Amino acid sequence: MERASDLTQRKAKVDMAEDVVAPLAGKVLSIAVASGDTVEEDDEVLVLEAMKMETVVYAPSDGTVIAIKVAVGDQVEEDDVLATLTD
Amino acid sequence: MAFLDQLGILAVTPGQIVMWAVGLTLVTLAIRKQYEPLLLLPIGFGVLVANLPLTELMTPEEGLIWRFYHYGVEWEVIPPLIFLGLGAHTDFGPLLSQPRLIFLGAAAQGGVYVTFFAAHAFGFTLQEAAAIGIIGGADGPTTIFLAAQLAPQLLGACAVAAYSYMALVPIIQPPIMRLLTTEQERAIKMKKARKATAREKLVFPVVAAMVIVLLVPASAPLIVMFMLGNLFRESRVVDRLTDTAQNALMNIVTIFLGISVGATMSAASFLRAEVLFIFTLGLVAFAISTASGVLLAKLMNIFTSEKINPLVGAAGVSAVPMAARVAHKVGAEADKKNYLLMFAMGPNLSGVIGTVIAAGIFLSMLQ
Amino acid sequence: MGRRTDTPTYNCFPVDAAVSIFVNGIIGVFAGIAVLYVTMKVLALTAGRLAAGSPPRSDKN
Repeated sequence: MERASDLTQRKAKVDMAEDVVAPLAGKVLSIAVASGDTVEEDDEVLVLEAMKMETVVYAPSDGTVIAIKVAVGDQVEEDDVLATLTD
Repeated sequence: MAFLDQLGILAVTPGQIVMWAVGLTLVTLAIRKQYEPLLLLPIGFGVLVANLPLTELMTPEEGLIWRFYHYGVEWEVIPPLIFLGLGAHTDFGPLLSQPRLIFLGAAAQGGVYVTFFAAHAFGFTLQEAAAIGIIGGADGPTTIFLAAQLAPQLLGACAVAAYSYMALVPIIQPPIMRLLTTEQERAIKMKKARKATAREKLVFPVVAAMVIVLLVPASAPLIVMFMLGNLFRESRVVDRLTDTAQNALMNIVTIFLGISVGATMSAASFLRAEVLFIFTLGLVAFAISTASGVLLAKLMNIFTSEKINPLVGAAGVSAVPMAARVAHKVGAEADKKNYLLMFAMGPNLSGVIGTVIAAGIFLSMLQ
Repeated sequence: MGRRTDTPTYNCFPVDAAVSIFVNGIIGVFAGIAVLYVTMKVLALTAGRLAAGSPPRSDKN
């Protein structure tokens, strides 16, 4: 019972949410947003460092940041989820 | 008054004073602008001290730096050791996941051959023309390797030209790239490729070394060490060797390479009109290599549905990873969510291999 | 200083040699790279997909 409701809840969340994924592997250099912040499409979310070069990751859509999955200094792989937005 | 006779200052020639300025300029560029400081700093200092009179630093059989040069560069030891370190640093993943991009690294050798032809037409010997042309490959150790064997009298000038232009990649390349592409082309987002598996990465250095050496045996010293370094890395069982190849060994040989390449630049060998030619032709080589990489990418787009962003073609010049960064930055100017870095690494790495093959072909035909 | 030879800087080869190196060089580089391309394709087919633990992806290329 509990499990089932948990699953549906999670599924609903996933349907509404949009992930900010890492466009390339690198190290998280700085994070420009905090959980609860409202962002617009193309706003800066965080900065990755790859090949000694800073790469800015932008918000894929308008929304509210509901979770930030990484911390400054983390090493991330391509396609890792960095943050989750909700409409 | 024997002491007075030995005074170095009385033996200084005007040419040497000019070379002091050249050496100090390189040192300054390395420190102030951080232009390839790991090499231009020792090279600049080498130029300076080689032009101090009566030191005999470069006297054959006796001089200290001559010994570094002779046993390190003339004996072809140091450039392959640098390649060992480069191999240990290299992740072939971006290339393995997008095999078709390897051709862009071949196209970017266009500048090598056009410049070779032009230099020969200007009166350089075939051997000298080859050493000048290879500057267009934008690969320092390969340039030194080839010049040391074919045209040692031009080694210093060719090496300094190669390293200076590599440092200037972010200035030289973008205007050419913008000229040859439209805004829409620069904004092309490339389709994400699958990731190369660990097994592919492990097998690649072994097979690639065999294939290339079977085809162009003269490229063996560089390619074999390059792939050995990469095998260290991908095998994951010799972390100590990988670490030494990447760091300690690489740093040690870089010191000896820098000072000895700099010291080959005596006033008599450097202050000649030819050297201006070398720098000019080297720049032309760079520009043509950039252009031919971009143009092949555009040509490939005619025949393929999955479009290639032509900017990654410019990364076919082997300056790793500067050329890939430049492609990424110019792409991001057109569309800030365009992340070309990893796509550009493919041509970038194949450019290194392409330049080594080109050097091997020159060697086998000219030595 | 420290040089093996004093090669004079005049043409001691006919232009034909330059043309030959030019053509051979360009063909050689493309041939070498093409062989590597085939090698990588074969690798992708053998080691690329069968390797355990690699997530199935669209690897049309």
